[in-house]
Amino acid sequence: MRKGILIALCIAVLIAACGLGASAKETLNVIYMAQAGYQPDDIRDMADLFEFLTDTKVNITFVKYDEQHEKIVTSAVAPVATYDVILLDLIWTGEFASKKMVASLDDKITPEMRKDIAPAIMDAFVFDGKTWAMPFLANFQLFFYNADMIKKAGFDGPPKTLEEMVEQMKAMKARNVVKYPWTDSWNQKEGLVCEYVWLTGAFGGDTFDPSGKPIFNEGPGVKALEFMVSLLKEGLANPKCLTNDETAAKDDFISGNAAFTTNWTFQYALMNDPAVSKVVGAGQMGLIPVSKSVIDKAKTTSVSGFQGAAIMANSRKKDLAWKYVKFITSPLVQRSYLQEMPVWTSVQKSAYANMMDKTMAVKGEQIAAVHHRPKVPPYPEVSSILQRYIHLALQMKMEPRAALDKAAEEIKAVLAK
Amino acid sequence: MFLRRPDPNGRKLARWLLAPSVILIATVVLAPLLFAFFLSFQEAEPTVGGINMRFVGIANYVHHFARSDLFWPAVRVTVYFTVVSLAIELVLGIAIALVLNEKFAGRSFVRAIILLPWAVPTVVNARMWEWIFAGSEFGALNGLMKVLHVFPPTYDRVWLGFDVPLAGAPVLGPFLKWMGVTQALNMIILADTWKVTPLVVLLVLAGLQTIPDSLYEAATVDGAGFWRKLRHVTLPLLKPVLLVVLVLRTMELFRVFDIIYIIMQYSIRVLGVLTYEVGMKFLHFGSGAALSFLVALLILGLALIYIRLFYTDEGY
Amino acid sequence: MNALQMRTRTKGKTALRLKRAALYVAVAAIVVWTLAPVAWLAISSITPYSELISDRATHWLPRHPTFANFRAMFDLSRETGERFVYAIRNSMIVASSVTIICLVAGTLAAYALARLPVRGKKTLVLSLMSIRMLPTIALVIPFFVIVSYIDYGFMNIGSSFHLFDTKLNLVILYTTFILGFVIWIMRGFFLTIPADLEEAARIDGCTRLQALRHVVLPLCAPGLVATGILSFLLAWDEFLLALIFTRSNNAITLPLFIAELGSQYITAYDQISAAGVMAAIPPVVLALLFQRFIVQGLTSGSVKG
Repeated sequence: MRKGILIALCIAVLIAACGLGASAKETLNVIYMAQAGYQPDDIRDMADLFEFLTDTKVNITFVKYDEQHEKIVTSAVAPVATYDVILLDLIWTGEFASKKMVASLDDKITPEMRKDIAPAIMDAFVFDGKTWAMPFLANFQLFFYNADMIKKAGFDGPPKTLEEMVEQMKAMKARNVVKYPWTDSWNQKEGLVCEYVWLTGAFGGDTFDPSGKPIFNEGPGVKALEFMVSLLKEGLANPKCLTNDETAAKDDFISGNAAFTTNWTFQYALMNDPAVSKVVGAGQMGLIPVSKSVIDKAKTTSVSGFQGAAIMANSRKKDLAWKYVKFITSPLVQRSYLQEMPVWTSVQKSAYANMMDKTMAVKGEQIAAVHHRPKVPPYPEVSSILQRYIHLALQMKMEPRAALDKAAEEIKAVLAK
Repeated sequence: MFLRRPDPNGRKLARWLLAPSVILIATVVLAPLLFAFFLSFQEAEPTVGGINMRFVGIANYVHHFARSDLFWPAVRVTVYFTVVSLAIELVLGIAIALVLNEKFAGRSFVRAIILLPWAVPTVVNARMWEWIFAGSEFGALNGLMKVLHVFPPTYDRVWLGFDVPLAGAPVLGPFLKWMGVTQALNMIILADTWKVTPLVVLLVLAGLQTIPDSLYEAATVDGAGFWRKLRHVTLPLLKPVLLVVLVLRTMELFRVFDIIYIIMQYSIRVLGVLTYEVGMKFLHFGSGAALSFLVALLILGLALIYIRLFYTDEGY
Repeated sequence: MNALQMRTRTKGKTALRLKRAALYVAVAAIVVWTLAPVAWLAISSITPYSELISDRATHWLPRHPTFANFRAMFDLSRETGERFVYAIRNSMIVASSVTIICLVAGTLAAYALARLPVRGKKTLVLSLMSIRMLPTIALVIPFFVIVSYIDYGFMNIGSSFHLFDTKLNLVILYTTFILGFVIWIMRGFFLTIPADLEEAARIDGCTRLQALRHVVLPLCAPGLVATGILSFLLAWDEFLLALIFTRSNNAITLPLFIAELGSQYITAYDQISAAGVMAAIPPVVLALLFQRFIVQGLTSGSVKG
């Protein structure tokens, strides 16, 4: 019997240890990812300020990007939200909106606010004619090149077209400047789809049509994949690309093992940090080149990785949640954290921002050229199929066109459900 | 207290002693298992405020067996992972145990550290090898290969790449491709083997110590060499230990998830990873439950073999 | 001694020496194979990041060794540090609770199954064994749905109690999975102890439980140590359930923390190494100190059982 009491005690202690005590202040629960964009410490900073101003408490849960979606969806299942505010990646707009997991913000976002945000950014969070999140993080890909390597290969500047880039890379290989001039994040993850989206854009097309139907197996998409495969076949792209995520691709570049790459905005700061980078000075940032065939229509291309702050439909504190969303997305806060591109046109153009960040002009031009990934409700599954077949083609186990046809067929089946 | 009334053979006491464990296991394992069976006949998706369920009969099973392009490849790659890992672990485990069974200076030290890899947490092991296998000039294995002059100074191997080993070989190449074998998979097998072999070594070592020296002496007198002694004395006497290792490891290997998910995410879809992806990433609870149930059945089948081999009634 | 004899003797000696040399080469290879990967992890943990991404062939040891990565793990003013400290605390609490509960409940059940008459004993032992072998992946989906519904129920009656993202939930789940294993090993130990000893104690007037406590358990001490350590290691190592059921500092465990460290945007291999070294220390120390018991425990459960 004593043992029985012991067990009961243990369990009681455990329940107590699990800390069910609630504080008197009003509490807001927020989920944020632990890596891209603003770093967790900055996010905490912003929340501290909000707590001070409003006398509330903000609990932030940081999770890995790849696990965010599932955690948000599962908390939406509950009658009362585990989270009040979530970070909504633009690829989830379709799913969260169609299932009404997040609250529409149309009555909260004022026309003045709308006017100051570029349509390319705002549209990412519109589905069925309604806006579901307030733009927060304007992430997109940029072009990075190693100026020293370009000079050593006998050229005087970065390439304007993909064809020029291939020519420069071949020269680099011939002169032994670098073993594999190209690196990128082509492992079987969301990053691969992002790279494929801008590449399709570089050949003048899109991966999905506005209604969400796959069109990547018609023309530009096929050319894009064939281009990727050709880089691997000619030994211009590092075979390691197939295992790289964005971080590993960044490491290849900043350790001086690549001449060209594309990556999200975060790479710029790391590339210029002497504590981690070996290409400080040589590493430069510019516009992503496009194919010669489309240069008259578009000078550059990119892919969006925008994220918005959204309010869960089952939150019981929607007003406080909006206050918080409004605060962290405000021009005031964004201008204090210029390590990421502000979403507000007025901040992007401001003298202050341009003084603090010399690359603001390039970023502004690049962000105007973004292509979106599709806004289809079963996005995770659609993306997984696309990743699998693109990767098979990169492994040279399938022909590009055949792989894309098969992917389109499977995606149509998923969308039809 | 239990014994206020006489309980001469302890039947009542036994019930009290078993109750906590049995109740816990019944509610936390058996009930969910039955629930998984129920779910596997539903289409179950999370929506706001609950889970939408719709009875679909055996559609989920039909999907995996006949329609999905992922199920059979997952079975094949899991089988490859299990069989190859097991073979390496057994051979390496026996070899190391035979060495450690000899007398040499510092034997107790070597025996003491041999268990170290086994104690390293799986997640740490995965990330450690991921770092060792880094496919660039800063990868430790690439560095080692260059120091040993196996690789020229400018060559870096992508250890976790997707080339099919021996792709050029007739019959074997296409077979390995069909099994879904990649270089990355083989490297993960290596990493997993590093962690688990020590356990096999210690179990075999314990078995070796039960073999009387007189048997070896007799064999030596008969003029038996090393291999003959191994075949006719050591292995037959190790059979019980080896069978335990074989069945236990098969079950452990067949359910592999952690190390592959951490190093490769969804790039190598063994059954564990596929189940997680369908159930927890795409949140198709019904379809995922059908997969879980199939995995459970396969492993319980193995467990039955194990039980038939080793259960004894001596407690009665 | 004639020349022939001399020759065969030296030949025998050379063969013996060769054999010794081969043995030592093999031993050296085993030691290197066992230690090199962990040594590399330890070295990486004290290397600055820019040196980590240098050409390995010429750059193994850090030129400017640093403990910054370890300090970062305990820097409570940073997100990473705060999370690490919570993770290690949660892991400790969960693993020790699981160990204690499993030892108490498991030992009692194992004793009953080894010694007392139980109806349907064979079925019970067999099902316990099968449950121990059931893979967690087969149960996570129903677990997930059930836990959501339980929390749903509590929310509906206005309670703030919930299982999701709590240590309590992990303790319950881990305990169940490890319990079958504990019962199995302890039953093996009890079976090795002669029943006469207990009978003697009972003739002297002890009740069954007293006999268990004063006679059987002391004899099974190595078994208790072995099972305790194995339970602790299993709970410390678990990843999948933590991945699904925990999110915040309230419940994340060390394996989850390390798996998530530096993902999409920072390959923090310096930090991963430092955290990895610290996560490996408790189980490695336990395993090396109690190696004998562990092997005994594993063999008693599987071979003799």
